[in-house]
Amino acid sequence: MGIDKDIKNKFEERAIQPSASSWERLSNQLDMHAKRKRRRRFFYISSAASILLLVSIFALSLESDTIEDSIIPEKMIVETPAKTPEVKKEIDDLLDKNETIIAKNDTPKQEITPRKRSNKKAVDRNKELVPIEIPKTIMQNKDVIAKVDKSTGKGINLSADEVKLNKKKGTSRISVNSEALLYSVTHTEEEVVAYYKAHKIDREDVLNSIKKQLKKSNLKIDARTILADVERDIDDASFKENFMKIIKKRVSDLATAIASRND
Amino acid sequence: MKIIPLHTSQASLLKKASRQNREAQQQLFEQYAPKMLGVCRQYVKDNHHAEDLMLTGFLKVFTNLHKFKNEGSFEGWIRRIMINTCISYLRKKNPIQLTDEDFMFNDEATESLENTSVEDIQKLIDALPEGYKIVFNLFAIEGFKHAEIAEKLGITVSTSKSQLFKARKWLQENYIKMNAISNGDR
Repeated sequence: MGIDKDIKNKFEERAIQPSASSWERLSNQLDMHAKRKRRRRFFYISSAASILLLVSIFALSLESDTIEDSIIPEKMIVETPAKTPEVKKEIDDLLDKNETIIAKNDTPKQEITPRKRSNKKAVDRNKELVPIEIPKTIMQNKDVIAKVDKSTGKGINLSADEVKLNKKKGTSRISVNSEALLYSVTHTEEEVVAYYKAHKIDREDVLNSIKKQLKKSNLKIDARTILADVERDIDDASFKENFMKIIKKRVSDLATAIASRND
Repeated sequence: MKIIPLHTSQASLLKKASRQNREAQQQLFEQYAPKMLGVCRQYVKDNHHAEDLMLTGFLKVFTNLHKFKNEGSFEGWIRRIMINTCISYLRKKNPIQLTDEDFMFNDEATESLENTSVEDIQKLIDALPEGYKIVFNLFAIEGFKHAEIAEKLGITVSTSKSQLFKARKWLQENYIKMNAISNGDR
């Protein structure tokens, strides 16, 4: 078309000079655009950083929660019904034969050491030791109880003050093994024999009866150990009155402790 | 007076400008701005408006310069950006009314505008209705095909053709009127 061609030729090379300030205006617009771009980039980066921070805090809190959940208290005292009623009955029968007064034993406390990760030492220690409840009368009379030092094999005396200290810490129990009880005997043989004579009691009969009952109960405990633990307090006036009662309590405590440990 | 160093080649100038080197950008602006203002002036009547659109176009050019792959004329690339800027401005300002009508193409009615000045032709184009003007500019001056115009403006090819025919007719009629007025003045 002629008209199109004419117009195209005239307009193709047409140039109009822009105003003198046009470049300044464009330069300002470019600066503004660059600033806006920087601000937008900063906003995106800061948003991303904030999100990352929040996510990491959340993850850390989750992790700490799981660690807290996985920590199991080292020891806890759980009240459980005694599983040794038969043992108690047998001991009661034995003591009835000797015409003594038998007191009922309360529900014993069972000491449980729950499993803990990489804490095998604690578990092993509990296997070796038999927890025994110390009667109040012993602590009140400032008697000395002994335990065995593992490294030397010698007995260590534990004064009543130390026992009190333990009590203050929240426990009235001291763990000793069977040998420790033998060390606790502080009387000579003569004194013991004199005591039995004075009270007309045959020591061998008592010992045999304890052995027999322990065998029936399938408990491998040296009967002399139990007896020896009792005999060390024979000088005490109140103890003399309740001799058979205390024997019964010692046997009962030991049987309960062993039965609990076997659980 | 500000002295701007000359860049050895167009490619290095474009590279520097794409890295937001203001001097390179200014050099490119001064090189192409007059022509681009002429392009923008084809679409809008007002010179100031045309300059604003040209600056908007150049802002797009410099912020998207990294997208230019040196696979064609840089001037052609800028020109297209300017046209698109003008069209989007006109469409935003006033939705362009383009009606699909049947037309009879009459080649005999055409007259030569060879002796007419650019300013006079511009006045004739400025007086065209918006729809006619855009299609005429795109087809007659920029060399777009009807299919491209249809795609660009979101119309059918036949609408583009009818708009072009009407624009030509309108230009011829108004050219005759303009000549009659100018002859009468003499």
